[in-house]
Amino acid sequence: MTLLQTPKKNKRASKDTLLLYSFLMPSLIIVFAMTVVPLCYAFFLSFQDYRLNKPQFAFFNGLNNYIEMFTNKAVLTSIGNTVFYTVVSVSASVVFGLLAALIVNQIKTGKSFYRIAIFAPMMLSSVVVGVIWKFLFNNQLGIVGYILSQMNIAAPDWFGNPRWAMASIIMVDVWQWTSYVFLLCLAGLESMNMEPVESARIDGANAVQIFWHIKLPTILPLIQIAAIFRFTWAFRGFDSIFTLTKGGPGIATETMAISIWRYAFQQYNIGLSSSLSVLMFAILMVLAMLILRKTFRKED
Amino acid sequence: MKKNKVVLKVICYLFASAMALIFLFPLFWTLITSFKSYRMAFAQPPVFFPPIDFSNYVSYLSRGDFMLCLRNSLVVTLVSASVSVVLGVLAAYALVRGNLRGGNAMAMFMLASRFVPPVATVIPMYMIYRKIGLYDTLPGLILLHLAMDIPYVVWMMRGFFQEVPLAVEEASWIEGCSRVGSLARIVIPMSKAGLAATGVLTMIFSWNEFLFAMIMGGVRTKTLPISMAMYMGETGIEWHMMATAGILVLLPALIFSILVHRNLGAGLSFGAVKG
Repeated sequence: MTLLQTPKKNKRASKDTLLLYSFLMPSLIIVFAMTVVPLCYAFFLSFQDYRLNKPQFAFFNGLNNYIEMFTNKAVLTSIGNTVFYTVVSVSASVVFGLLAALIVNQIKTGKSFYRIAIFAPMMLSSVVVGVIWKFLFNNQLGIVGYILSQMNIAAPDWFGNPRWAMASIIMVDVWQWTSYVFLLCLAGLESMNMEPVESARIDGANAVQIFWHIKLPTILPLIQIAAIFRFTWAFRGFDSIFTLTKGGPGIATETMAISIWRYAFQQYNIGLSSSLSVLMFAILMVLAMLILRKTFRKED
Repeated sequence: MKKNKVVLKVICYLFASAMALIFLFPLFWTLITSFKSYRMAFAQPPVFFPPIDFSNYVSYLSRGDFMLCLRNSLVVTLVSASVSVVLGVLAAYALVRGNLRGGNAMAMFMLASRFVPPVATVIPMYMIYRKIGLYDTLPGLILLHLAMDIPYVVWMMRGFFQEVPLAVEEASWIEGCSRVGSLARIVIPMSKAGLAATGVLTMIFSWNEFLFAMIMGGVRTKTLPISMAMYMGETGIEWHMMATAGILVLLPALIFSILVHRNLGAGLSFGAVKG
């Protein structure tokens, strides 16, 4: 109702509304054209047998791509990998990020240094991060292997052994994105009202009690936001996995995003790739609705 | 009691330093590797403090396509960041102050598009681009960046604009200020810290972007992250040069983010932390 409070004649008000619509339109049109249009196209393609190298032979094949998606073992493996990768990586980074924020918040001298040091990884291109870790984990020359050998520990074949490859790509993701949780939690802690903490301390509460009953509830909304965005990014993660393993060895580290790329550009199977895209989109939209409903309810 | 506090403080510093080490060591190692020669990068035991030598940088900068990739990266980053900030600020303002019919639905739509997985849109876009001739062109690449950046700017600026009291703006209208005038002279200055963080982060997202550039870009639109990934594919083991390329790509992003580091928390919380 805000507009009606401004003293304006009707004609001016409608002109004003027109102006505001024109503020909005360019953004809406671009976002619509670049997200809704391709998603509809992907949906359309997901019902076809469409080969990228012979588009002239494309034909509708009903639900075949979806049936294949849920029966093909490789696709199911990649869905399983995605869930595993996402859950482990998100939980680890939430725990580490929260811990780091709590500790750095206690520090007075040199706080900026620690803040910058810990947020640095998320500002880097995932490709650069992938290359750096590929180098650090290199079997013959990697510094990690060297340090481990100094401690008489035999370094595993980080990216060659299927189990270690999954652990390694998760580790790299946690290394890069713990920063995000850290930044949000730290911002929350810094803007927190300290009075309840002080009075609890006077009443004899210990650090654990203060954390559990005062600090955690205050920054919980931020932890939720961090977790939801971390989930989104890990779930659709592509760049660092692509740089580190391209989904290998075999398909041990192949996530849905990598599968979508591989089916489209290596196997030229646009139909199957599109149906996976549709599935991924649907899952993320459910998540988006959860967070958006929360945001909008809060505002009302 | 006092002794306890000192011990606690020491523990905090130890933990924080251990974490800083984990996060910084890979960067330190990349930096010193970029100063090493081909042979020194392979040395066992590894060399921790090589002489500072910029010859890898000189040779990387004189690579045939470096200038092209740098130009492409700069054009894509600067154009998409500035256009998305301008359009996003206007849209966010209209959503906050407009009370428009369907405004809430439009806000929802903008915000929901942040969740769309890029890999799901980039493949159909690739096929569309091939048909309409936007494949391997900078405008085509920039359009994809805009679709990624605008919703981010809208979401961020919407949060910051909501903090600006309407009364201040109304006062300026009474004195004869127009919409555009009050936006430029009151609303934007009052949220300039948030705007700076948003703008810098938009630039960093675009500078670092890889997937769009890989799928939509051919020879003409290669960006720096692509040139780096391709270089790794070609040479495989030239780690001293990979490290050099890595430093060149990461340094601008790091420097810019340090400039706005106090507002980054607000800039990344999508409105949950007010700057």
